[in-house]
Amino acid sequence: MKKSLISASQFFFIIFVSITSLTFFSVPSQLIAKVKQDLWLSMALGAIIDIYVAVLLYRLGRMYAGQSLIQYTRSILGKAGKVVGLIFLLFFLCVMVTAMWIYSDFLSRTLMPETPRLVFSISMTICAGLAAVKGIEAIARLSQIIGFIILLTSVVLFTSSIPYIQLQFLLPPFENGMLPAIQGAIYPGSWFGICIMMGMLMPHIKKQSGILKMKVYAVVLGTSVMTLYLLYSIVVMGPVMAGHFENPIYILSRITQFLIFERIEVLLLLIFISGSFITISTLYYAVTEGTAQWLGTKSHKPWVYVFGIIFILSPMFPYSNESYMVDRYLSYWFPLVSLIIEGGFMTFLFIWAVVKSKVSRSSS
Amino acid sequence: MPDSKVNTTRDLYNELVSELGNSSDLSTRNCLIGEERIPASVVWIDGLVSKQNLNADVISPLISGTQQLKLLHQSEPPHELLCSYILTANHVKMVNTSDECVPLLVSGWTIILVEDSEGAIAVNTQGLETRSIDEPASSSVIRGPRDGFVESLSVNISLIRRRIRDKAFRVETLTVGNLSHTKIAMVYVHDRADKETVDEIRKRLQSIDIDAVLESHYIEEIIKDSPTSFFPTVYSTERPDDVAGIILDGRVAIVVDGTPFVLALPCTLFHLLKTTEDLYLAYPVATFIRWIRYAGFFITLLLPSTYVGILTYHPEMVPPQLLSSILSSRDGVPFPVLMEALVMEIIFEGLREASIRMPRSIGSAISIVGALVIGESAVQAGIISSPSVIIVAGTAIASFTIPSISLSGTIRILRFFMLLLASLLGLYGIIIGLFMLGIQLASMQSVGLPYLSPFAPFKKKEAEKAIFRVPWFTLRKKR
Amino acid sequence: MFFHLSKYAVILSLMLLLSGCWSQINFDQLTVVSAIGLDVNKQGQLEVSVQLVNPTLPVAAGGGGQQRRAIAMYTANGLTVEDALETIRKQAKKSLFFSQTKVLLIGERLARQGLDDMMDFFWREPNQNFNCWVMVSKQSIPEVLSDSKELQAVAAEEWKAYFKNKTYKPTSGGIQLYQFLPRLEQSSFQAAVPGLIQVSKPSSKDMIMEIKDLAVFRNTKLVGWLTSEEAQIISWLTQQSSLGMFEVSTKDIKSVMFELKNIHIAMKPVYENGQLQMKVRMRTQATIKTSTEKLDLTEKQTTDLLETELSNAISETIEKTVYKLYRSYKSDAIGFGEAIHRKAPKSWKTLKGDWNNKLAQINVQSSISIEIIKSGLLIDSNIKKDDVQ
Repeated sequence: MKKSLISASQFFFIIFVSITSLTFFSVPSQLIAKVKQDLWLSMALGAIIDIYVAVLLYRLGRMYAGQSLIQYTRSILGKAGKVVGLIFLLFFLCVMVTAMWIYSDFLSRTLMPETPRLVFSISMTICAGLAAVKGIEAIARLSQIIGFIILLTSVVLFTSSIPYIQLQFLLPPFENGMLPAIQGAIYPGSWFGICIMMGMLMPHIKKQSGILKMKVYAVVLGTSVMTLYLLYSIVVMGPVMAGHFENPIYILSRITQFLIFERIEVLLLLIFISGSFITISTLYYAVTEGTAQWLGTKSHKPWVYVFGIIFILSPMFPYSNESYMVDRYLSYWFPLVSLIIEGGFMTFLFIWAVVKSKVSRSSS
Repeated sequence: MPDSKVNTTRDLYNELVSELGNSSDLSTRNCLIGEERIPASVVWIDGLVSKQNLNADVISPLISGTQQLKLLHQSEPPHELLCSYILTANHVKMVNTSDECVPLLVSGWTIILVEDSEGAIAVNTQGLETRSIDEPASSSVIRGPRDGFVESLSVNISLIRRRIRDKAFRVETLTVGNLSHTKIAMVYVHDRADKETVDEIRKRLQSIDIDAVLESHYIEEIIKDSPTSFFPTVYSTERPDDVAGIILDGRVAIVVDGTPFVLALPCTLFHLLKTTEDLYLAYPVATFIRWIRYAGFFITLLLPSTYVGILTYHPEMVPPQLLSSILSSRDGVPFPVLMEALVMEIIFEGLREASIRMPRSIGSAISIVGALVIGESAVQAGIISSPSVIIVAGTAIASFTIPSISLSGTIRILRFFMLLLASLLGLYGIIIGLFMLGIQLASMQSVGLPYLSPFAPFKKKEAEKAIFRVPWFTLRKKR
Repeated sequence: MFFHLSKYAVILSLMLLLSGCWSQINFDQLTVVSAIGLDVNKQGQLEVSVQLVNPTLPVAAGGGGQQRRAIAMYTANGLTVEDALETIRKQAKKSLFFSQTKVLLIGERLARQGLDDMMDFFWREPNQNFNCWVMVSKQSIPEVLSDSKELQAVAAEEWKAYFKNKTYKPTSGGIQLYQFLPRLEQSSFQAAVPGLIQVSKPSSKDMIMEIKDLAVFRNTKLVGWLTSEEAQIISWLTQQSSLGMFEVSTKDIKSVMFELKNIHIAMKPVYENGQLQMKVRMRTQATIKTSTEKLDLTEKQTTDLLETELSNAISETIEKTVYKLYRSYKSDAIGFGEAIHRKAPKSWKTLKGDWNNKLAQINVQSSISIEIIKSGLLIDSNIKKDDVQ
């Protein structure tokens, strides 16, 4: 099978789109209510965590050129790598299921109330599955178009809501000290960290040397766009109002008018839905390919169907309707687990790899 | 024939006649040639040869030119003598067996059989009736050359060659079709076309196995990439200047005998939305028109479905005044929004088909009836609401801005698909449809060129050229 | 090949089966709710009224001659808003469409009782308009919604247009739902809502309504009214508007109407001797709109006089308004608490708890600088009589 290749700029857009759409759907509800006007610091810290992970991934990827995360985990750790690889795969799976759950839950409450969540998960799984079958090349090409659209709409929304801005809502900075903002960083940090799927994409990128630069650019651009969105929702509605809603950005777009159109929130949603489409397809592809590599099967395609069923059922998981459990999961367990895996495991893997290469060099 | 060496002329003649099944358009002219008065037969198929050429180049030299000539017992055999001394046609060939003769005969050559000598002479007297070169009906321009391709391969190639008089211009001919023996020609500019592309296309053309090729679409369907997709991955045009531009771009054109439609490869979505006329107009105007065309593409695809999707799922998006006037004009209309849109779209497609099939004089009558009956009366009777008529009319106008017939057909079909999705899931359904379409298009290729290039994957310079009609003077400077 | 295509057909039909058009709206049953009214009836029950728009063709399309009621009004009582709306849905038999509601009208009686439990509906309901304008009505709401006459057929549309008009902004004090809702919860910046008040004689059937005055809320309760002139001060202080008209009539000058432009205003919390002070600084440009007196602006003396008179008058009004708010209504409708919060978050934490009662001790100092600029068609901004020369 010919290896599908993507260019560095396509990689940039995949990361950018993933960061914006994940932030749009998952972060605001936890971040704005808790951190309010200082959320820019949380976002910046989240970005720094992500860049740190990216540097590790990049160095590892260069050390084991042509291998994906799952493959070099095995090369580094040997038999134990198989277990670590499984943990990574399960983590991907868990992130996808969570993202899918948040996605379908949010849409069934805002875009189309009364529509069961299953409809959203099925439609998205079908689209993303189709994309995963078609391969990373098609996803990457589409991400360029969708990324551009996201940028364009953001600019349009920002300019059209300038008349509503009241900048004084951003004051005072660090009302309760820096601590809430630093604690808040785990939410964006945990979601941004999903970019360890970069480890799966790296072998597919044509020019290896520019990856880190592209990744950093994408993370910086993505976080700044989303920080602007979050700050805009505070600046327009005020922190009290913004803190009440599950997704203040959505409410922001309801308040803003664009030309004669008073309600543009559906368009905004559609645009971020397309962002999630790219994110979920990329993750989908990463999971299926990772599984194929882990088990040593030739093609990732059969796994698309296997995982498809899990993703379709993701809104049906037990406890998904108990908001106590959901809140506990989203604001405590999920960030904790993902930070351990993204930060902890990756650092450990990296150190081990460095030590191993030193040892083998000195012995030879 | 197992014993073809001892083939006498008489046998060969009989064989020819029997192989063609005594076909009545096989004509024979018997004559005596040379001082020795050797009997000879001239055989051809009526209608394929030019009578004038036949008389001037074959029969008249044969009869009047050989009267003082001793054909037998010369240093050269009589056939060679005839070929090089008597016959004035531009292309003469020696043939030995009927297997060689028949293909030549059916493609318009004339066979001369001389008594008691081996083999026969084949003379090119091809003269098919062709249409005169006139303006192509499928794509007319306001400014630009008015010649269009005709049904003859050689004329068509000459029309292209006339525009690119360079040594790099290449024509490769092959014959395709087990029964039709249609000639097709691959045309490209040697140092501009990508070698891999040319090789790939040649390989695909050579592997064609088909009975007959009556139109270039036969070839198109066989060689195109992702054949299951609705989207055309092969460009077709009737305009020589278009083809000249294409091959100068480094793409490859395929000319098929018997049809004025020439194919071009590779072809992306944006090639299908460009016209040659873009290059003949001032660049701001051409750019503007091109944008209108791009908008037309999306409007055709999405306008009816967005209308239905918004009204049935997200009416809050409609500005208040507009909502009030849509609501009031829908007052008393018996059909739901979806039905209305669907019925009107289908009626429109019917009208369109009817006006194409009708003779031109009736065609205009149809459009009047359509516009009056469907538009005016249906609204006045309160059966159809006027906004949906406006939507359908807008879609129709937009669909006419798409220059490629095949692309416009595809989009018109997909429009119904989108309408269905919009009725099921509203705007969310449309975006789901767009994802499927997008992933399909992004994974498609046309002979190695991604279908959505230059936007996905993004290539800056080419994307610039696709969005704007870049004026020539800026291009010169860069070089 | 067709088997290959049939894969997609299966997927599509799967989607067909799965989707049952849950969120589909019967478009023809859709009725736009142009205004919602909340009030209490005499039994103390919540009374919800809705004004429904009966769609008519626009006049340009020949809809002027249509003989149908442009609006319909329905009222129902209930324990909660949703409860009452359920009854209204049964009465109207249409699907009510709240997404383009223009006005939320609150009855004065209900407002004085407090809006505590009513607003939950507006926070929660996904299909409603955060951009609708909030008003408090002194008249009975069903009457207002059904009988008020404006030039446009639907009164609520006219009211919305009025609020959007820039020239009326300083006095109208318009507030939209998304601004109103959070202020009900904030003691640092409380709500002030324009009033809708009948002006015509009660004998005539059609009601002419005027949007004037400002109802001041303390937390969720209405506590009192401000006049339109005071409303203008509020809209300056909250920076809603930088325009305004101001009339000065003292013993020196009879009556001069000024138009103020480019108003820059800032509130500053200052501690003086442990006492919280509010310093208001205002900078503006003024032009004379009308004058009953002869004024010669070419004379510096006149200009100086006008400037001092005007600034005195304005600062007096500002102080009067703020004291009225703080001392009699005990409500911070100008967001001074927020100003402290932004400026000194630490000291705000100590003030926060009992802010409403601390308001009465705040002193206001205002300093105003005015620049009178020439405008109008007159040569000296003045009419001189011939015989004077």
